[in-house]
Amino acid sequence: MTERLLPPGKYFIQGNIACAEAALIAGCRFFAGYPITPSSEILEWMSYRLPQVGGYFIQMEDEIASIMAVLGASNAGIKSMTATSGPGFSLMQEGIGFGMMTETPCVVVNVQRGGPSTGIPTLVGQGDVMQAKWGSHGDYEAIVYVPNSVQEMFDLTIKAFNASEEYRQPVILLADQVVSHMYGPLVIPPYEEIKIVNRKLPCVPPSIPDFKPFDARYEVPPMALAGMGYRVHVTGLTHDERGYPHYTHEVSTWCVQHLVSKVRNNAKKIWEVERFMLEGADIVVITYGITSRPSYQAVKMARSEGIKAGMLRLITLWPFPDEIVKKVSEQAKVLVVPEINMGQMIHPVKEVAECIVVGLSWAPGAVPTPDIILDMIRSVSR
Amino acid sequence: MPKEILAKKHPDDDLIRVDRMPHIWCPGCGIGIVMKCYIKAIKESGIPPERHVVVSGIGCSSRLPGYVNIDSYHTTHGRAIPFAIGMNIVKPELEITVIAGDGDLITIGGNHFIHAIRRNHDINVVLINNFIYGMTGGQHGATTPIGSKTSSAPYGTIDNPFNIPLLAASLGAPFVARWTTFHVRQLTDAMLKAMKVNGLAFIEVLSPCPTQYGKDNSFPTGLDMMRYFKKMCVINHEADLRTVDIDLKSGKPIIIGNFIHKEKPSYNDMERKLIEGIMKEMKSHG
Amino acid sequence: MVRWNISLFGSGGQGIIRGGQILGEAAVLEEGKDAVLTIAYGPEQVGGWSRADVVMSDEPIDFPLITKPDILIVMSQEGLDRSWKEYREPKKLLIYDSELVNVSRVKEIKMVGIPATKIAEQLGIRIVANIVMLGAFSEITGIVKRESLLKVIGRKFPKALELNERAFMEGVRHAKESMTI
Repeated sequence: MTERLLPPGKYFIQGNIACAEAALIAGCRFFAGYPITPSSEILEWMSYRLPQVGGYFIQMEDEIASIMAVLGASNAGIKSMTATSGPGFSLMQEGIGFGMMTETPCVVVNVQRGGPSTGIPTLVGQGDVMQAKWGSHGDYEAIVYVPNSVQEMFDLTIKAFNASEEYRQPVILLADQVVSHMYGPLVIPPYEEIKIVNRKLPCVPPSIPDFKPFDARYEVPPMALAGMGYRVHVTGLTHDERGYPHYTHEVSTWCVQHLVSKVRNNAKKIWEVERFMLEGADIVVITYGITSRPSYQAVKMARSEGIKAGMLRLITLWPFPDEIVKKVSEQAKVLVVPEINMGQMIHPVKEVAECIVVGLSWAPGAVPTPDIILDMIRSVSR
Repeated sequence: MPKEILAKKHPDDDLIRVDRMPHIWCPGCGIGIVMKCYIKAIKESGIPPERHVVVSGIGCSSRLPGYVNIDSYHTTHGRAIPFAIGMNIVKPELEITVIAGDGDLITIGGNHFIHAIRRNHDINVVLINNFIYGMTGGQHGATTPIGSKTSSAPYGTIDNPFNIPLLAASLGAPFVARWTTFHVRQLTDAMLKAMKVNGLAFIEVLSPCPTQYGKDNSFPTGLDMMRYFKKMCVINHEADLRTVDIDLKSGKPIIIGNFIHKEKPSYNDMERKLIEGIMKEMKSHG
Repeated sequence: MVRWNISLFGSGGQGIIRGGQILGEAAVLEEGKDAVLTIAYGPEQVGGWSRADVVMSDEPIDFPLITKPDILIVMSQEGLDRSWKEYREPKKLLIYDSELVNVSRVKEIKMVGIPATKIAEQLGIRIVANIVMLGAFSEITGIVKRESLLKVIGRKFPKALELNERAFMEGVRHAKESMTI
């Protein structure tokens, strides 16, 4: 049913709309959400578009209900998504953890705004980068994509769906107010060039005795859906391969190791970075999301002044591309980490860096300009 | 020897996860009775077990799905209803029953409860009301009768409990019933009716919890409360729901029955109509 | 690399955001440029200030935001006052609605006044004032070609095409006149 999808071609479109259209192309047919600035355009656009493509939209009573409805729909086999911002993302954390524990694919879009609490609803922030990884209690490995353009709002939404289907877990698209509200060019390639991943379903018939919905022989077990006849038990409790709860350290060891290792073992396959002017760079700006946009310019300006600057952009924050950052740091003298928060991603960078790491903490409400980042590059180059 | 009188197979074994026995429920607990009624209703519903789905939240009552051998989802505390709604919207052919406790469905999950009834999703909601938080050690909730002694109200509760049938009816639920674990046949029958209702069917089941509620509130065994149900329950399908609040101390009768049973378009009906309209419009515009 | 920072500033209801969309779309889809539009507005749901910042360039745009515009198009007094207050006065050119905006505070900046709202009213409907401004902008600067903008306008307003084209060309005409004076 591709006839009602946004056709391949070039557009000048808003980031949030690009995200919604990408979700539809990725196969999303269920959206549950609650209005919140600056993500509401995704909810509104989905309410308009989903019925046209044979999908379902519902506006729920809060974000807790939204994420749970998304997980319910996904367990019935439908690719599902929700979109929110800071306060709503906080409310969703328990549900995200349930999705991790039950290995339920879905995409959660968090359009970051200024925080903490209600913060600055209409202005930019990057204060949720650690919450995106550690937000729900207990151990799991988050997969988090961070777009820096309208095009990436599209591309990374599709990748987020693919990763969620491949690794059977919620995946987060961590946008921000500027990228989401910005209008910019979007190129949609021919559909056959867009890679779409669908979750694996069990290949054995439901009648086989002792079917194991979380079969340990698989790194990512095929997903038995509601109504297929496998009579699954799915629980947020620590469970065995059969899905049954257990209160033993032995089962807990298997269960949490399984949850984290399916991502850890594939981290190099999942993580993505962009390398910019890194040749011979002494000073490397480690950046992500909207903060990368002034950084490109700052690095170019620094180079024109004779400073050997470069930039490494994290497209996936999590899994954190530690080996790449480490390698870059081995050749650099200083890493500069500008972020629109009081210093968050600087910590994993420091953990692996072989050189000096300097943060540029910028309060939410505005994007640092190229001049500000350039000043930082200049000051550490001396 | 006890072995000699034990049957090898229970007639409900095909719908029970026998490999999960023994269950966690205390002697005298009523949740097992609700499970038996639900299994009987599945069998008599004419809907194959593969199409039945049971969803719960957290708590003693919410362990019930884990023992029923159908697709069963044990979700987070208070959130069974929205999970069931998501599943129902995309797969309306599934017969989804939410079974959870009073603390789960009406206390922490109260917001989802009222909105689900308001929108009239086509799911069944069975609320097992044992007047207490059992699993966490006997703290009171939004259904605990006023004046009850609980582990977090050692001097007695001072807050009023919900009259849940009145609440559900006020929101327009097409089916509202209350039974107790003493009324096994009527409860099964109500579940069967609920499965046929188009929209949200709500059943409150009063159930004994001797361990956490009864011990400090004059019902030291499960049988004590079952006797109380037998003695105090009055079946009145036509009851004025403003009068059905529960007081376990003053000698007030407990009104039970199938209070409301009516036709009403479900959320799914409204959505189907909406989508048909959109499709028609799009076709006429090419 | 030629980069243009263009800011449109006015009140809600004047079609400021729509004007920005048309500019950006014309640059991207008709002229193969890179362009980014960011928008900002006051907290009022109705009648507050409204700003559309369009960055366009022949090369990929790094920083998508405008700290100081090259060209400012203002359609309300608040738009002008706020721009000066926020140190966002234009570096190169100010185009303003000459019937609505008092520019006595503006010094040492090239200015063109276009009575866009009055022209639109004469055409029968105020809401095309933004299109008049786009016509003037194109004629004065040449940054986005007339044909490119007209193409986008044609796509966006197929039902009121003639009216919008007339509004656009009125803007062109007034711009020509004011530049020859």
